[in-house]
Amino acid sequence: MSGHKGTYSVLVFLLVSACMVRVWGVQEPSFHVGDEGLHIPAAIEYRETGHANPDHYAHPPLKYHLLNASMKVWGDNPAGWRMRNVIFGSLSVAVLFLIGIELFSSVRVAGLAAAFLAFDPLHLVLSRSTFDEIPTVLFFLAGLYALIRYLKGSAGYLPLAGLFFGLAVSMKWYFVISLAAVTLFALLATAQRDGRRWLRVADIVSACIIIPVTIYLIVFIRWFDRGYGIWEFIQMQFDAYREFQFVQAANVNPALAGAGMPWEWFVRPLLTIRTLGSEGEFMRVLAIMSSPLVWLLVLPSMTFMVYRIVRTGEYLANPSLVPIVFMCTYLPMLFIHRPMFLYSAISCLLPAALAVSYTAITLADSFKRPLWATSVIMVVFLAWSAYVYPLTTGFSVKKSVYAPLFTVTGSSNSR
Amino acid sequence: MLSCDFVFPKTRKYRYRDGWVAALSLSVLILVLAVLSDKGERNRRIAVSPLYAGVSMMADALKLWESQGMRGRVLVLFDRRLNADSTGGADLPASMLRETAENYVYVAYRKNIVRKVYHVIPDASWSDVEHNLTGNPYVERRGGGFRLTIEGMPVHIQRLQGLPVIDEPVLLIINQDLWDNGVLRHVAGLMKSGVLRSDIVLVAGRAPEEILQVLH
Repeated sequence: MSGHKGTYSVLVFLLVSACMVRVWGVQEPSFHVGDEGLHIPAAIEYRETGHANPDHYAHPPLKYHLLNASMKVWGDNPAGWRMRNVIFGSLSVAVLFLIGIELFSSVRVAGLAAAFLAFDPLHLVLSRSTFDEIPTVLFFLAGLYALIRYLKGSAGYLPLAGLFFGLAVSMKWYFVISLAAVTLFALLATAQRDGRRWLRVADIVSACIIIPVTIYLIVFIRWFDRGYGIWEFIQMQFDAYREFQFVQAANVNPALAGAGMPWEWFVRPLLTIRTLGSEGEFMRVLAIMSSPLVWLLVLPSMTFMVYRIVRTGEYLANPSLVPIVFMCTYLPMLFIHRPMFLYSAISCLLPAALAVSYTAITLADSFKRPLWATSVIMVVFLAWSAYVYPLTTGFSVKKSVYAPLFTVTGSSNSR
Repeated sequence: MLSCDFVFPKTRKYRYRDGWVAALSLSVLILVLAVLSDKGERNRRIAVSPLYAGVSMMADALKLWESQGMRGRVLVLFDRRLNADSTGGADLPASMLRETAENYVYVAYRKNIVRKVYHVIPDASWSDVEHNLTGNPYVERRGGGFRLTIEGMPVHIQRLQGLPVIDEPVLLIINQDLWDNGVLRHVAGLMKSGVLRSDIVLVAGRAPEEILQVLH
């Protein structure tokens, strides 16, 4: 991160901003909203018995350990339920910024990408709830950052990469294929540069596979407390995978399913709202929504990035990780035999934000005054973010102000 | 144009020797596997002395297992029905579950008394069971029997001749009304030969004492 004037100031500014917009009013609503009614009792039950009721047994249990830790610090109250995601969501912004710096050596690309994530309405609303996607994304980001640092010459980061990748897969399985892909990328990149050094290959494979597997096993410790052995654990993983094939959208949340399937995420604006209260001209809602200003640019931007990489011929250069991670996270969701809901799009947002930012800054640089053009992009984005922010917080808003948005997106009401 | 780091730096001198991450992580993985495997086995509670008893109803078994401090066990259930109905119980904490004739196996699972079930079906009922389970997408065909999971609890369903060798003592419970003495003598033979080992044998039915004598 050296050599970038003001980099640390931008990092701190982004981190503080991300934290403020996430923590402001996080105690409201004071009751369980949406899946909080599953996650919180499940965490308590997991602590008591090692079972995940009323949630599904097939999810890796790190989420329960972290939620219990959060409730131990802040209590079994709205702050205790949600502070885990407030902190991890804010840190995700900072880590994305650091990745942007490592990949593009540009504060503007990194800063804009981090701002996209910091004020993304979906990331905001999930960061103020108990959704597992927020810690999952942070851990994968942190692992990716550590791996990039390793590839750039800092050997001490390799086990850290393994640690964070392990934590990511111990939350949810979103990044399993991406992890395989970045492992292969790291192996090929190292082989291209250093030749065949088998011990180095063993190091990378260990960090990206053995350490994550070890951590994955450790987080199941309460499950082993119930008398199970290692072979039963392996069988249980197959059972879990098999059970996911039978998840029906209608049984989970029909309204959320109607909010947009994966193929729609980056091609049309999406919005589903949960009304918390209504009084005269005012209402309080929580919106699960895409941010059209950024999301509709994801696929063109990713195409542009791939074009730039192909043109340079540097397929194994670090920026290639952006489309690789995006494709390996997004494409499986298009074809997997189970319904995927809009909140899962969070897992695609980190490479998406980097690609859109890279494209936007490249465009801005084609103007005579690139900084001025960058500022215009930032102002437009922040104005949009300020407009939708109250919808992600459950704050009271005037209905007429948001009626056009609801009309355009054809929003649906979730439970 | 944008300044992009599209090439790797050429300097690649790590301060550490190659291979140390592999060696360390492999050692830790082996240690973790050993510890967790041992932890699982240590958490299985077996009766201090063998217990052969009659119970008036199958569901009474749950209280008896609890009183004996059973935990993490394999259950071998000789009955027509599994009695692991989770309806209405899946959303409740284990401490709030109340056992009934239809759900006592499920409650035993949620209370960590039972971790896996071998459900032995009387031959006379097998064709019904086979008909009910064949084609059910949640159920796998395994050998001559079936396998399914209930909230993660593995349940193997088979006839007596399909019962595999179980390499640990099991909780055994028999619904006497569904089995004739010939079959029960066969079970007794399995127990004597060590193919089936059990520390708590429960029999529910009209004359459990007679059957217990056969099994003992």
